[in-house]
Amino acid sequence: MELPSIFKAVKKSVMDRLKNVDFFDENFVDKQVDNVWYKLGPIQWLTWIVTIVTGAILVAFYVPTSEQAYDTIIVIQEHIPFGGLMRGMHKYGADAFIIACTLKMYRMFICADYKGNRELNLWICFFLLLLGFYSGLSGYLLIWNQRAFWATKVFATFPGYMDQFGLNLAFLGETVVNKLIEWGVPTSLPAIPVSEGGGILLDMKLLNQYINFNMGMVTQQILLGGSAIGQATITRFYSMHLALSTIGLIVVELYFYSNKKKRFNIPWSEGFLIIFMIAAAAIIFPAEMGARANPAVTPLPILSDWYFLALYQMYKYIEPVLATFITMLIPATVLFLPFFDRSKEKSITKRPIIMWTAIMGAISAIAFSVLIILNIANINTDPPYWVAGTTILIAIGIYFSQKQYAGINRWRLLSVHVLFLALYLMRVHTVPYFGLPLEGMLGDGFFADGPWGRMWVFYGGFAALHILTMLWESKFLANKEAK
Amino acid sequence: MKFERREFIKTLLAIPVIGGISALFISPFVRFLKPSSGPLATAEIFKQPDKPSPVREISFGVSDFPENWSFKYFMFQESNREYTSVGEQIKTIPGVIVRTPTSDGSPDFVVFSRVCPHLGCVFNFVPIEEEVAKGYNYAPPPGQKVFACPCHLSVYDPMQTDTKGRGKVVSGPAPRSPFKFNFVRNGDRILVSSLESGGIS
Repeated sequence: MELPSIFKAVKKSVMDRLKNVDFFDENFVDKQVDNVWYKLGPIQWLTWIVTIVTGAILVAFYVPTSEQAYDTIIVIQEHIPFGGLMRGMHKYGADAFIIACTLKMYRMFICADYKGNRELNLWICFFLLLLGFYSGLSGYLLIWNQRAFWATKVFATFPGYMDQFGLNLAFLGETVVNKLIEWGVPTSLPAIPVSEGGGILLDMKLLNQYINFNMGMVTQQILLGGSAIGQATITRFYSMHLALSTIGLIVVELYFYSNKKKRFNIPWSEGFLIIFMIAAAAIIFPAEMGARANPAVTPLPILSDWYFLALYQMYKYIEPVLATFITMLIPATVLFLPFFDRSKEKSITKRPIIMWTAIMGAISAIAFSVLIILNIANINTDPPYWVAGTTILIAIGIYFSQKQYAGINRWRLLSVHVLFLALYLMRVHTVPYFGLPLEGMLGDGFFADGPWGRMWVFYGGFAALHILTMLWESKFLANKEAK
Repeated sequence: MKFERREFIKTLLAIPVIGGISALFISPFVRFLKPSSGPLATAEIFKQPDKPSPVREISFGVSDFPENWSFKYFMFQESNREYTSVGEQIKTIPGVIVRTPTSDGSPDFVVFSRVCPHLGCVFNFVPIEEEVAKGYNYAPPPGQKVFACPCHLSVYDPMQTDTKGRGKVVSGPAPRSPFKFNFVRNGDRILVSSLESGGIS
């Protein structure tokens, strides 16, 4: 039986990408001479193997029960010869793996390694990073200290917000209908809030009950192995902590075996240098223990692992359903942005959208992490400032991309800028914690004083700067061409 | 790309086949991971999440709260389903009971679970107004006491209500008021019997 052409097309594009699979830069050895960042692949492999080997040694002593877990970690850390070194190398090896994955992904974006049917390589690197994140999170619980317990609680709570996606639609409906009635638009819909049950809104609430299969709650209970964090949670996290890396290792080994490729493509002298660095970190900064988990007391201040700090800061600012959605949007951007970059251009400065997405991601992550470490968060006045910061970065990106594609056609530039500013202001001037466009645009506080109102001065100046820059540049460039 | 009628029908036919086969595998897999759920055929697979049940009641005397904003922290025990050989585990939920002012001076109470409905940290009753203003970016009106969560700085006002009852969120990202304990006033006694479901303990 012949496959329909749509499947054929999908199959062909998948096969094209499978032909170019590359796990740890084993196909780019010749590029190492010009670009030292191509050594990141072997480093990624090495740190992963270091983590697996030290983990296999730790398994000999660790007991995964809620009563004994913390005590066995103390024994490993303090009483067993070289136990502290092994545990430190396990932790810092995993950190190094995450750093290597992140840097390699940046290299793939900057050097356009995903071009020429190689998007799958980016996906592989991304899933290795996710493996690092998940192993970090599940590994943390195994220590059974305060940070472990509360990090797991936060991680397990937010899938529950999936159950509210439908309900939020109902509230959006409420806002729209009530606003229509306020304007005097004749409508048969009653202006009753959802909470008191009115017309179409009640139906949406009912509909939510039908389409909502408690997906969020079921996900939580599958993750935790019950309705609370306990023995079943440790067992599950422990088994997944071991299983995911083992499965990954088997897949990688099968690939290298069947393709007769070399796994580690930098000199071992450099490899030993990295192992030495991990070991030195483990000796100089011994992995911390923290206090035993106590479900009754949330420690203050409470911080997550360093790679989740920026997300953690974002959860302070934004209403959690929206924050969950944004958390899902970040990996989607990484995975699908390359498919929109169809040009043959490889220079990063000539791919402005990719460049500014990369810069914005890095700046956001670093700035938010610094903010949470310094414990700076004024949730009432901060959001306008970081939204404004994002605006500037995106605007610069659009400016450069327009220059790239439209030459010096200033009217096109101007129209794109105006459109962009209008769209962004509509999004920005909303109720800070919910982001519904209507309330903010039509409410009394639109031009009022206050952090969001004051932003108008900023936007005005910013727009003027935009237009002036553009006019000056078109004049300047026109003169230059005339010469 | 060519896309003819025959292929279109073939594609359409393939969807239920693929769906059926994947459902055949997904249902046992979900039930293996979550043994308390029923088979897909009865649509029970996602419908019945395991809810914790109270272990025993807790009682307070009204005279323990001599003035407005007197408060007490307490621990409430709940039995949670756990997919191990033991089958269940007893969890203690931190709770707080506060006497709130009324216009005629008679005692009125709020009994909240201290598990924050945002992401599950334990929040506190913060009677010092300066602490709330400095640490949680919210200046309560004079004489007004609030609850505040150290993790993401949500502030709850027990004198205001939202759709889920008292304890409206006046600052911060929390989506709703705290989970409430069900309680009855029996003369001089306050009997706390059970907890509204939701959140993770």
